[in-house]
Amino acid sequence: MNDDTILEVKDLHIKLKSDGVEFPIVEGVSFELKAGKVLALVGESGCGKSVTSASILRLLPRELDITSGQIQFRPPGSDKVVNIVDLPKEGKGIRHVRGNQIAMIFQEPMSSFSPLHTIGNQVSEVVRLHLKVSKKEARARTVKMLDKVGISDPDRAFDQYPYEFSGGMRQRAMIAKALSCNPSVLIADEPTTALDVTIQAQVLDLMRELRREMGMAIVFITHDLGVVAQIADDVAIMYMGRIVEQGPVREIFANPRHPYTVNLLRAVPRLGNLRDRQKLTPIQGSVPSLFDRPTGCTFHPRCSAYIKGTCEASVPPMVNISEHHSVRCFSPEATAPVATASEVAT
Amino acid sequence: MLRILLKRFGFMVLTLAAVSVVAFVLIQLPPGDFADAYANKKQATGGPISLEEMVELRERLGLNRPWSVQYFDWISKIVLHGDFGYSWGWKRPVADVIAERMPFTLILAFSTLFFMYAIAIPIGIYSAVRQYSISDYVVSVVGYIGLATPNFLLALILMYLGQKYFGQSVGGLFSPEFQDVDWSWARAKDLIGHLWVPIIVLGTSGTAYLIRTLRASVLDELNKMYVVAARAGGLSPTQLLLKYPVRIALNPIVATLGWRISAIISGAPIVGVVMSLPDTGPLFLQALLDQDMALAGAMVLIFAALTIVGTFISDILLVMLDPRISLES
Ligand SMILES: Nc1ncnc2c1ncn2[C@@H]1O[C@H](COP(=O)(O)OP(=O)(O)OP(=O)(O)O)[C@@H](O)[C@H]1O
Ligand SMILES: [Mg+2]
Repeated sequence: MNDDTILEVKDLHIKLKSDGVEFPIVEGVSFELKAGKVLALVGESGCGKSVTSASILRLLPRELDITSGQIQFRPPGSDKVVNIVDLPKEGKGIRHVRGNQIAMIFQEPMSSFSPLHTIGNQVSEVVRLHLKVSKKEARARTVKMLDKVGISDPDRAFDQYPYEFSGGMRQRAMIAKALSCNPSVLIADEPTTALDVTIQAQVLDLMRELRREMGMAIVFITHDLGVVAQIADDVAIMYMGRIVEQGPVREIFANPRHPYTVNLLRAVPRLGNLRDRQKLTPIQGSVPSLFDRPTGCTFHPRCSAYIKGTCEASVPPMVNISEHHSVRCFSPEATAPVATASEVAT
Repeated sequence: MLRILLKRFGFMVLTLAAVSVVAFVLIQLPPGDFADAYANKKQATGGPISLEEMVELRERLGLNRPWSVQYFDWISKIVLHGDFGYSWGWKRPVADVIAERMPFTLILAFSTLFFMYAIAIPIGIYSAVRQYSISDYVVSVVGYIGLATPNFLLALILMYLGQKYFGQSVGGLFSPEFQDVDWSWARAKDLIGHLWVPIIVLGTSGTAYLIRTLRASVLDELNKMYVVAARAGGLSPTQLLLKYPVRIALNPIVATLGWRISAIISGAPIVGVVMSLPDTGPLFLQALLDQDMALAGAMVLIFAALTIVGTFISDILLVMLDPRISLES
């Protein structure tokens, strides 16, 4: 693990066990997160983004299991690297990481708070748990944090219940909770998807600002490439439990090599193609079901560059195209820019 | 908060008034009256009474006045003077007859309630957390049997087993030597020794029901997003369970408190008769058979009042437990 790497997932496999049969959900995902950077995890619904991110905090539901692989984490101010996969289930080790060193925010701000407890009670929970401070101090810290995420009248908000908060406010409170122990990694699982567009932009701005101020690294899960262009440094494109292309955002947007990435970028509306009256191109077909997973490269039934006899025969290896850019494809596209990052971001 | 309480309190009083009318009408509904029942009884024991005597009896008891007059006479005495009337069956004031037996009914009802919750809550939570384990299955099977067995049958089985294996008469609430003596420590111990059988009989199906409800609602909560979110904050499984799912799952349990009380009390007469308990159960049954209107009416009224007050209390608890409720009204 490099010195500036804070979290490294190596060849992670996750399986679903159902009636004694195992279905692969995540198959050999690897990525690195550098301190203070933002890595976006992108892919269509059901490709395994949430499962991958939940596994980092060992929050998988009981039907799902990590079957092999490593999740290396370097706690802040320590030289020792912990393999999260080896920590005992629900033991002290993983609980010390959760909410304290690695925090997580979720897609549904509406259901992420208990309706029967005050916002303050739930937000200050992590502070009381990990920082061992008095109740009064926990309240003071929490109020400060609520203020920081832009909740007006934070002292009053502390004693309010979730039903008195709008979706955007709840997501802000969620962010306050996640960041109140100053974690070095934040996992954000589609934090803006459930919000309407203007609120989305506000929350995104807030996250960018907080990252600049607090310096945590972020794993940002989304299926919106526009959001990726706005917030991420690096991006990993997932398809059916595998990362198919990975690299710096600028590089991937300017020079996508996997046919799936190219298709994803073509499906994003942009000022450019409105002007040129180009049509948006939807991706052919749809994601196959878990239960009839295509052999070889799982994208081959939908792929325009499909090579008969090769693509369905074996899984293509991840190949480096340049120093930081790698792709998992037997016939990567020629260099043909589809869009630039700044175009997609508009 | 205060407004809700006042509103609920108002509803409670209205309901009580309505129930008193219904109670009165129900008591009057069967053909004949106390005089007929009295005459039948006399006849059966070989001492027939004459028509004049019956007319005189009716006159004395005011039985030939219109129902509405009889009702207001009855209810105003109760409300204004706490006077429940005179039981002709027992030839004593109703209040005295009831006061003698009511404590046993209340002891029985509340200790049953206490044991029901004390047993159901931990077991319900446990079998939710250990879903599909052996112990969960055992709890489920025992629970279904408990739900499906009628009270009186359970009473008979327990009495039989008690007789056969403990050589002890488990009917009644006291051993013969403690039947009519003054209260003492030994008598209280004897009562506790006898109380468990009717508690099991009265509480089993309710306990089984509570376990199932609690298990289902804890399971429901365990899969909620906010539980995962709280787990992501670093709470231990026990802290998490007690702070969130259990807290929320208690709501429906508390909400049915009033209804539980009424289920126990209405189940009590049959059990009381089968096990010959000195509580209000057999008294109530006899009063109905005798058409002892003052006694039966008073008891229906008291049972209904207990249920309504229980519901009121569970409403208040619910408002205290769930902040969303105060908003709605
Ligand atoms: N508890 C579970 N039981 C069974 N299957 C599951 C469970 N959780 C996830 N899966 C399966 O794992 C796969 C990946 O799900 P995941 O939630 O990670 O997708 P996602 O990429 O986050 O999608 P979305 O964009 O819709 O959030 C899906 O096919 C899903 O059906
Ligand atoms: Mg998801």
